[in-house]
Amino acid sequence: MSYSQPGRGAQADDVAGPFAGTASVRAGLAAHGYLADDKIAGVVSLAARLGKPLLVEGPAGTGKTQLAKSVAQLAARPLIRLQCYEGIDESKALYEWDYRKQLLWIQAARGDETFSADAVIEDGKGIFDERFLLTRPMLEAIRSPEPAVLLVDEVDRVDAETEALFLEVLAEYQVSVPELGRLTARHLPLVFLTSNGTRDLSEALKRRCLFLYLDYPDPQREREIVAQAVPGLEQALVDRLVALVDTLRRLNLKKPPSVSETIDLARTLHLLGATDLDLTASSLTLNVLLKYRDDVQIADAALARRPWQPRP
Amino acid sequence: MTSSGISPLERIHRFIDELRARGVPVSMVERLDAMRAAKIAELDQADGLRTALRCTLIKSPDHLSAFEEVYGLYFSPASRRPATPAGYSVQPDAVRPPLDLERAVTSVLRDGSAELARQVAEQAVGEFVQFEAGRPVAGVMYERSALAGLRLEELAARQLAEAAAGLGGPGAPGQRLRLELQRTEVTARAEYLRGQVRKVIRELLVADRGADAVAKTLRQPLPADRDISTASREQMREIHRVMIPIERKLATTVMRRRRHRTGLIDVRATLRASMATGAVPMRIVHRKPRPTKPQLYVLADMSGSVATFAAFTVTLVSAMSQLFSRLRSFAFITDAAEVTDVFRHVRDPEHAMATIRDFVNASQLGGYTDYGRALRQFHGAVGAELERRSTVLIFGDARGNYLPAEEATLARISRRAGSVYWLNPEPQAQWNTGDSTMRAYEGYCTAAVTCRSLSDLRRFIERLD
Repeated sequence: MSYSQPGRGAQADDVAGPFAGTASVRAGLAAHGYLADDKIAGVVSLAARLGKPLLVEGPAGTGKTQLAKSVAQLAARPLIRLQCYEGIDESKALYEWDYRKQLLWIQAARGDETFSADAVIEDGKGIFDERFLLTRPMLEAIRSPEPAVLLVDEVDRVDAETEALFLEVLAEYQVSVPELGRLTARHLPLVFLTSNGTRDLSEALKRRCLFLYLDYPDPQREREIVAQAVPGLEQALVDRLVALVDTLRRLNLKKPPSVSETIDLARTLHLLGATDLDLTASSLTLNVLLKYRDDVQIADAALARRPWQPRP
Repeated sequence: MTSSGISPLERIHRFIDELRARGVPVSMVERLDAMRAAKIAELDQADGLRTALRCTLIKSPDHLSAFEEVYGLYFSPASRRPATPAGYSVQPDAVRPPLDLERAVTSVLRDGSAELARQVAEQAVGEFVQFEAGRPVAGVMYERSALAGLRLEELAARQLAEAAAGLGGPGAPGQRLRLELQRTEVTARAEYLRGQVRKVIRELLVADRGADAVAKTLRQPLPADRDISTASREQMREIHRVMIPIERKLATTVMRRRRHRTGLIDVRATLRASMATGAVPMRIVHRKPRPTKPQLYVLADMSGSVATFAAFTVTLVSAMSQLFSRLRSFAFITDAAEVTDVFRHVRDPEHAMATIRDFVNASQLGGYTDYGRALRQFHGAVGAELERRSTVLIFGDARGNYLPAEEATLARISRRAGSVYWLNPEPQAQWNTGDSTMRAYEGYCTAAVTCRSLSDLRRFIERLD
């Protein structure tokens, strides 16, 4: 088992600055509109200082992707994003040879006296050149001339076998291209992976990352988030709204309301000029928060303290 | 020996050992990472060390509660304080006058002050708990007497009644909703206070016997690995908490594997793709395979001894009904009856248990288990529709009260169905002892396996297909 410092040859860039400690990360993220708690800020700071990728897992709509975006803003680095999906392969994640340009080059070179097809086949000189390499997000983050933030979004969507492709980048910050050799990082990128937990990621991947479980925020933090997103909403109404969302999350729902749905509802109430939350007055409230008909019914029954009856 | 006099490094190692003893997978690399993180952790921050250890050691939300419990034992302030030899009174701050507990509890339930909750917990433990030094206990009794002394339930109920009165009569607009929201808040605060009491007691236990010994007393397997048949009510709830994500993960895995069988070559799409490469087919395109969904038939023994397990399994299987083209479940004791619709909307095990009790009472399935009769009735009900794509799952301990085994019926079922699996909650060593007739049935099953926990069940379903 090798346990080496990652990214040989690359220097840990200005990570100390904004990432020196929990307090500075927290303040910095807040300045960019992301309200982190000490847990989140602490882990981000550690990940930056240890130079390890950070795997962020949690239910949908808790701000996983936004965290990476805000960190990129805070560090004033470009964000390079790899959106994962089922069936993604190395030509979409790492690199691909641009065969169109290679064909074109061969055709153009044929006219040249010195061109010898045998020589090209022999050592690949000419065709396997960085000129013909299409960089995909992971390679791009590594070869970037300035330090970058790499976001591997929804990593749980890729197949378990494909995950292995990411390991070299995550552990060593390098990409091996058989024709060219190892391409190592010029600068250590800050790497974020997000997962909705729809399947277990491999031990190998998890071992290489720090882990942050981003659950729904506690009521206090959620109140702050809502107040920031929808300024001008009455405090009492914000309190009640967050309490309602908290209650709903404790029920056994298919899709509990996320932070973005809380904010949606807050906006709606603000637009309607509402001063109080009343389920009897409008069925709108639950319909903004919940996305399944079964869930709306379960919630409705629970809030009225009626036993839930499945619909016939 | 107590763990109060050990070096910080050694303490972290022991802490990790305890996590591993509970079944949390921590690799060598992660142990080293934890050490590196602890070295640069901000120890002046309230939870600096906790954050550093958590993000390096815990890689799944299922392990978080184990982490928090063990962390509390090894790193709470008291565990670093040597035990006070005389009298285990908790009065770190002797100048503080004692609280009026009733008023203090009411205030905690109303405002949720964390500081006050801690004071209340300390005083309650000091006043109501008869602490006996050196006894290897988990502190459950201590917790119970402290909570009884606090009259927490009673005060919470009173708080809610007062809130209801304050909100106007039942007809007042928004009254119902607001009351419900208050209930959530008060319940959460009561839960917090309960947690604080538990924390104070644990700190006392650790001060008395050392973190290692207390951790050993409290140690239990992770919820997913716990034996379902013998789980207590509270353990069942924990198991249920991890069940929903596991259900979802299972569905994803199974669906994906089915989709991943490669289909036939799609000639048209392949030619199309070859246009970019001068009609040289560089990329072969396959047709998307149509996943075939198996049909699942479940026959579950619902008699007393295995009812919990059966209820649990049928709930889990029903929740994953989208994976199967047909799902029919049957329950039996003496007689078998179809329960597919009964379980369609049941989502948590407590509800499932109640459903089963009602169902058994209403449908008079009888008093003692009769496997032969149940198999015959099952065969009568579904025998005609079984085919190669059907999978039959039988849950039960095969304990037939010394009635003769009727393997001929199972043989008939097995001939028609694609596969027959027998899931037995008993460990294999107990099969064929006493009135267990596993031997007779085993031969007609595609496989017969022991299945006691959520993890067992998950492994089984993952392989199914």
